[in-house]
Amino acid sequence: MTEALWTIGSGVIGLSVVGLVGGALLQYASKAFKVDGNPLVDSIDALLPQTQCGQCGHPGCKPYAEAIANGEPINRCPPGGQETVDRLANLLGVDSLPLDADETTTDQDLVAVIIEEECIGCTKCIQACPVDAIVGAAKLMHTVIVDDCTGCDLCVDPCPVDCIDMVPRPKASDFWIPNRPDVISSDRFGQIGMQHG
Amino acid sequence: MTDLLLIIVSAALVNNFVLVQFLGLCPFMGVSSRIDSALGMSFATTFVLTLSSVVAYLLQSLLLIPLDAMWLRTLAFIVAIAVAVQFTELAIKKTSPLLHSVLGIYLPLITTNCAVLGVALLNTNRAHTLAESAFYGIGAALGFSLVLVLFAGVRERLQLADIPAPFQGASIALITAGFMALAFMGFTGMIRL
Amino acid sequence: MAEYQIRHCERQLEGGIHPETYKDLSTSAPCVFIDDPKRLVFPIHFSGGGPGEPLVSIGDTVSQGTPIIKCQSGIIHVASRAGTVIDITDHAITHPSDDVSASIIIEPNGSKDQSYLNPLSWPFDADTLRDRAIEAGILGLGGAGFPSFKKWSDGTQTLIINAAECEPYLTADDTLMRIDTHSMIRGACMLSQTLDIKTIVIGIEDNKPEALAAIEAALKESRSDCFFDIVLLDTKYPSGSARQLVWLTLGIEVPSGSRSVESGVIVHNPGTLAALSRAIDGKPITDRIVTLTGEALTTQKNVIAPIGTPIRYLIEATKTNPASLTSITVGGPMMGYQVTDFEAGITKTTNCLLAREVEIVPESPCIRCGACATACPVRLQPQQMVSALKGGLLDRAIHEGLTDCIECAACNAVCPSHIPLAEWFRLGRFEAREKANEQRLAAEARERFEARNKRLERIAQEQEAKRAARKAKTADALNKARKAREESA
Repeated sequence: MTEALWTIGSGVIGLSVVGLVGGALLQYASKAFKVDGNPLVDSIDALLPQTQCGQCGHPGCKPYAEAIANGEPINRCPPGGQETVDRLANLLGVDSLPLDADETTTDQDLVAVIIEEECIGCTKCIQACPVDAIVGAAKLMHTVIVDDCTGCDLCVDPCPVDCIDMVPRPKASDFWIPNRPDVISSDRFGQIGMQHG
Repeated sequence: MTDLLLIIVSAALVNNFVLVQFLGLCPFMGVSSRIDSALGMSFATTFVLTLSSVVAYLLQSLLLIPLDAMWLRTLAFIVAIAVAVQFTELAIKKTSPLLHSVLGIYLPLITTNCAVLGVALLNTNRAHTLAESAFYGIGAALGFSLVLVLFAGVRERLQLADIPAPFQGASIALITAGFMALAFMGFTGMIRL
Repeated sequence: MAEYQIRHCERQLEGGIHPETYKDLSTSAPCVFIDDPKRLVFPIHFSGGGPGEPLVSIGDTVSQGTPIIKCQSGIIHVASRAGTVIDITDHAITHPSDDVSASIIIEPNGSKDQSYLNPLSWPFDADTLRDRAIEAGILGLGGAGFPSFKKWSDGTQTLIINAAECEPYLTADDTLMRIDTHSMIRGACMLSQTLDIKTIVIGIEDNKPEALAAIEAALKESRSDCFFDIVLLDTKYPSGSARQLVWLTLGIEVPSGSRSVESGVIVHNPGTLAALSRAIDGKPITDRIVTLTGEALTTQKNVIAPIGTPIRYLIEATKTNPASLTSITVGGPMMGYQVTDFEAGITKTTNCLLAREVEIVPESPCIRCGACATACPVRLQPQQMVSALKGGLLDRAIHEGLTDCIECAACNAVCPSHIPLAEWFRLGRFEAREKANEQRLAAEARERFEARNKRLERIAQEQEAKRAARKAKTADALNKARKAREESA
């Protein structure tokens, strides 16, 4: 009887010791391998379009990147379009999702234009622009630097005289798109991108 | 020395753990859709396999046999493997957070990978020495990595191929794995171990 | 006599193909001038050198050499004949898009009025030469149209004259080297002396013996100090591609993503150098040699045509009825593009008009034979890249090396399934450039966003500090007042 007890007891105690030693080792390891912040956020942020428009529900692209790193759905950025959703899915190794956008959002490349005849020089749009793309000063003409504008349209609402329009981004005069060859039936154009992981 | 090399060849090719002994199929199917995640997974599994086969041998020879507690070996090995996996997960999170995010749940699932427990138990069954255990673990890991990366390469190509709708996804992947297993049957009889 | 040597190239081009060259088709007849056409068409944004703005208005009278277009890069295009500007409107253009675009239309009036620049007298420095190249509108006349002055920087060691002309059917450079060798040599020498280049390499294919003889004769008469290294290349397409040529003649491998200029080598077309020589004497580019060839034309030859000549006029110069052709290839069979509206005027980069009957074979699925990978001179895997592009995975195509593709279309020529590989790569490279541009703009926007946030934070902090200081001051003053009141009470 005692022999059986001794066998079982020694085994249990031995295993417990092993468990405790392993636990202590992991405790030390978790301190040694501590990670500050979340470096994944930078890789995610690099894929976002940086319009800082807030359509995803976060005040800027970096906060949304942080949210994605903590598990938020990746399909909430309309300016990035479906392409950005697919790239995020590719980066994180998850399945891609359809873009979570309704008819009011658009992924057309737009820029703001100030109608100079109507501008009153109030600087409200300059304060609203998240990327400093509007030049001007109080009581002086305001104008949008087209190359710096990301099309977030945060300047449109604050304007008291409603003199800002969103227009398609002008292309260079010698811009042309090469024609796309036809796909044949055995090609899988457009069918991939939704399947990953 | 030749014995140790033969052990590696046997564990890697002739008795490949995935395609011949059909162990460790979960990460094989789950992580092999892209080559970079497959490579990351194979590094992690190699590390865990080698470490855990050595630790398992030490546990067995220093604790279980003296205390006549061989009946506890499964529990003991699982504890050792769990500690090794957790350690690996912390290390990967520190060195490559992207890989950690890509591997996701499959990293802690290495704990339940039957190939890892299988290596530990087979070492016991075959009464390997410490060196033989370590090399057996390395060989198993090499074989696992080889097959994982090969399979990932094939699956990346299959993504763009014109596959009939009923076969797309997991079906064609399993059929491909079957073909690869058939190919590995060609190694049968090379080494008797 | 200038010092020179002739040697066979020790290196072989990796990949590449040996198409039928058809050079004899257009070299048997002599090169002739053609009469002035009835109108000349100059696209404002597609003449080479970037988008432009017109320098003349409707109704203006211009002489030969009057600047009419100024481009974004600074390049000036001039009227190739004296005449009147009759219209500035959308017109068919000689461009791969086969579209219409704003063009200046001039009607020659037959007068001999010239408005040239002052001849430059030696010695002049590199900046003077660059300014002259800008004013005379010197671009790469081999087809790419890159503004030449941008290639001329200090630190260049070698000038390579690209006399390969490897594309089938084309004989414009061959003809230039036979009839205008002196201008080409003089242009090369002037450029080399200005940039302090000691060696001029001439890379010429071994199927051009007459041009080689003409070059040798010209070098024997030249008094240049430069050393000429004439390298005979095996006839293979595309040995005339700039990167391939640099490697074949000098053994220098230009790294991916960088230009040959950064490796200390300038590559120029013979026509560009001849035009440079004339520009130094004061004459901007007004004419060029165009090869008119192909079995669908009645006769084939090289002509010297004014820039802006409508394609229809050149077709008629070969005694062919333009109505018998549905489209014509501008350039060669490998890298040329189709133009359907023959009213379009030739530009400085139009080196050949090719008309032939090509059977269009329908495309079949890729059989993974790998012939394209064997033919690729850049050692890429076209079957992998096109499979990625057809699947819509641009990132994977870029990973396979899409940005290094030179669009030579050698893979097109060998594909047994007749897949239009080069078209896919042209589109893919365009999309890759657009995407890289987008990412660059997004990164700059992020920087400005972060800078703005820091600025607002700093301003808020400064205001907070001021407020605290004011508060402290007020509290201080209140305390003093209270004390003073207590003491007086």
